[in-house]
Amino acid sequence: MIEFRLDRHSGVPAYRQIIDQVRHAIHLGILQPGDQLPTVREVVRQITINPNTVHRAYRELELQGLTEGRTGSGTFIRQSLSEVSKQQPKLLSQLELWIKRARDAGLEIEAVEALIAEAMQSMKEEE
Amino acid sequence: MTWITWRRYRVRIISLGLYVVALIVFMVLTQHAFQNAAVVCSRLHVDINQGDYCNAASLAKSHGSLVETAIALLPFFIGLVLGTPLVANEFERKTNRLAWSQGVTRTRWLVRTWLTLAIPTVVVMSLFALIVQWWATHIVTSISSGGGLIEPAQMRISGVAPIALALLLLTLGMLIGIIVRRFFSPYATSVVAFFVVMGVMPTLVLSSLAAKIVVPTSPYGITKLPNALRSRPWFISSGYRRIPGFHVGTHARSVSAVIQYCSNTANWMKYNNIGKGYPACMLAHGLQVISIYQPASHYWILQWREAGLYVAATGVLLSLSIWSIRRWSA
Amino acid sequence: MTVALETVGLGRRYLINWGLRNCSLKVPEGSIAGLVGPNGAGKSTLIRLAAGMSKPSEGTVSVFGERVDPNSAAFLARVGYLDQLRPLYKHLRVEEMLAWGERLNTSWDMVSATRWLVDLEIPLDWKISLLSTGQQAQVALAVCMGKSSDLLLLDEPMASLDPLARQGVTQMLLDSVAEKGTTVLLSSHIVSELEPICDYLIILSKSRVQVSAPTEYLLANHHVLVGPHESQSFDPVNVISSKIAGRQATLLVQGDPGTLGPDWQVLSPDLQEIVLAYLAKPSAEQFVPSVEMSDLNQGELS
Repeated sequence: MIEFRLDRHSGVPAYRQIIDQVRHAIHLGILQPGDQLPTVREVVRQITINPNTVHRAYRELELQGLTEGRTGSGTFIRQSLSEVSKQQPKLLSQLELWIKRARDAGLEIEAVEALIAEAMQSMKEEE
Repeated sequence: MTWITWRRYRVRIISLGLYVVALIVFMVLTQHAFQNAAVVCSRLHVDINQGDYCNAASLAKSHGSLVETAIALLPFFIGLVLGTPLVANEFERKTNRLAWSQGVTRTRWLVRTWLTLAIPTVVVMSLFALIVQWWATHIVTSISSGGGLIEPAQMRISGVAPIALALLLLTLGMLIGIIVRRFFSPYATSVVAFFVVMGVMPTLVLSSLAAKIVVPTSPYGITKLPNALRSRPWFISSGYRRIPGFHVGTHARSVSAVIQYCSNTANWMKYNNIGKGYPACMLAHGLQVISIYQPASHYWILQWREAGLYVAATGVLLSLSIWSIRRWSA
Repeated sequence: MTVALETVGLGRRYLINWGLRNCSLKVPEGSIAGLVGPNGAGKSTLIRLAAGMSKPSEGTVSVFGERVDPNSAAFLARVGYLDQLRPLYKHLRVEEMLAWGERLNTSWDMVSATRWLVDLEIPLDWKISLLSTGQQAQVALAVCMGKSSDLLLLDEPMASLDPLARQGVTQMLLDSVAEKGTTVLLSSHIVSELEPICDYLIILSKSRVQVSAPTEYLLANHHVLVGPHESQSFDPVNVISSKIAGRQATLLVQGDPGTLGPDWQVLSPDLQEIVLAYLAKPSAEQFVPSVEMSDLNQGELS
């Protein structure tokens, strides 16, 4: 079961933080496919947050295909990110190569992340 | 919701209960005192049950009067102790904002709250009335110097009227507690209002609730009571009435002038040929002196009608109370 | 999107003073709306009008499309109200107070109400008068929320409570909303208390509405601009606050700041800054976006 934490001063909206933490947990293997996410009530008991925000985050996760809601039971993990990497080994190795080149060029991790974010942003704008 | 009111009123209810118990004790004690006095006086061939006086009875008599007054005040205390704070307390502690944001309407809330005290009041007063009736019929005639149950002092404590009066004062106190909050004390206002009700009814209204019997005084000053008034009637007042067919002269005085004239004993001699004293003088001016009575047989009629008036007034006051709190805005 | 609470030109006068004037706002259903403003701004007045405890002097107030009528059983069943004074029958025990609530309400959730208080370690068999202020506040809230209403109107539920009690109150509230989807309007003059839980914000100042918008929309449409103050002129209408220190200006601006010179920084304000700025400038342009523009259910906002 995942425990959420909120950083209210990060400037990142609360619902975004929840989504990121779920994704991170899936990536690390803390959450496996079939695991149940805490119910909205349980989340609200862990952190002081508006229940609507939690609903929104969970809805977004569902839209991203990471989770599925089973009526009456809750929200469950659908697929792990690592599965994605299993399905796309070539893409993964290409990415790892690129990252190595970026690091060799002297970029810090944050800069690498920023580059990726920027590229994704401009792609989104084009779409 | 019943028990929350009773819990809140625990001390007050117990106090009133003790008052009632004390009254009963004193009723029994005075009853005994009277029985003893009756025995003592009967040896002197004085029947105090007929209203005759005997020294031995004087103490019992004054105690009896005190107890009578204390009984008459019971509805007053019920109204003041239970009625006035009923809603006033809610306003004071702002719990009305709690109560009136729940699922019952204000109307329902008020009626329910009122009933939790109204029903026990009627029940207790009714049971108490039985005891008072016993006491009153035994003693009261002696206390009132030959008068009967129909005398105002006895009417006030016996029969069914006090039950209805207690209900009325409870409701009146509640209404005063609702509307009198800002400038005057609701308790002071209640005391005044209760005395007005308890004073007005017997003196102004009660005597008119059933047909009165008018008895003329003869020109010689003799009032012969008809059979209906044989046993202990209620003497309401004396007055006058015009003699029909009497010719009023051109220099006739006004009635009040006549009364003033005839009250002067110096003028009585002129009318010795037709009668004696005041009645004769009045007769000569076309006015007959009369006495107004209620017969003892009207006791229950008067009781039920009085009670009926009180109950009707209670209904009106309850409606006013409901209307008042529905209009209330913080 | 349904509107849980709507006011149109609502006003309430006390003799010569207006407690609230010309108040027009909408609170969306399912939101937790915060009502902020200084003391005397009209927060309690607005909440009392919405609860039917006070009658409007002008304008209208409606709940779920129906005019507020405190003498209607249907209205009373749908709306819960907690007065600033948090009145209770202090001679009762906690469990008796809850039983009273059950008697007076058709849809009463005794299980939740009891659980909330047990979770907060409040002894149910104690007389209420023996509890601390914080505990009494929590009992009052539990009684209010046990009613299972669709709209909860709470007047400063956290005022003068210690942090632990405040946390307890917040917890009860969020649990109830999570479970039942209640719409909540709560007032406070401490923004930091409202920020984590409110998705809708109303700023009231001097008996008038300055802001009424979803918090996210509010945050997204206000910017802090820092730069040399001579190099740019701004439409004063949109400037909520401006601070000049030497040659540097720090401005809080409503809406799109437009194109700026390269020496200008654009930062995101937090709710506290925005609220303080509006309260400091009563003449600021009202920020009450229309319902379509500020739909709560929107995804990413500009």
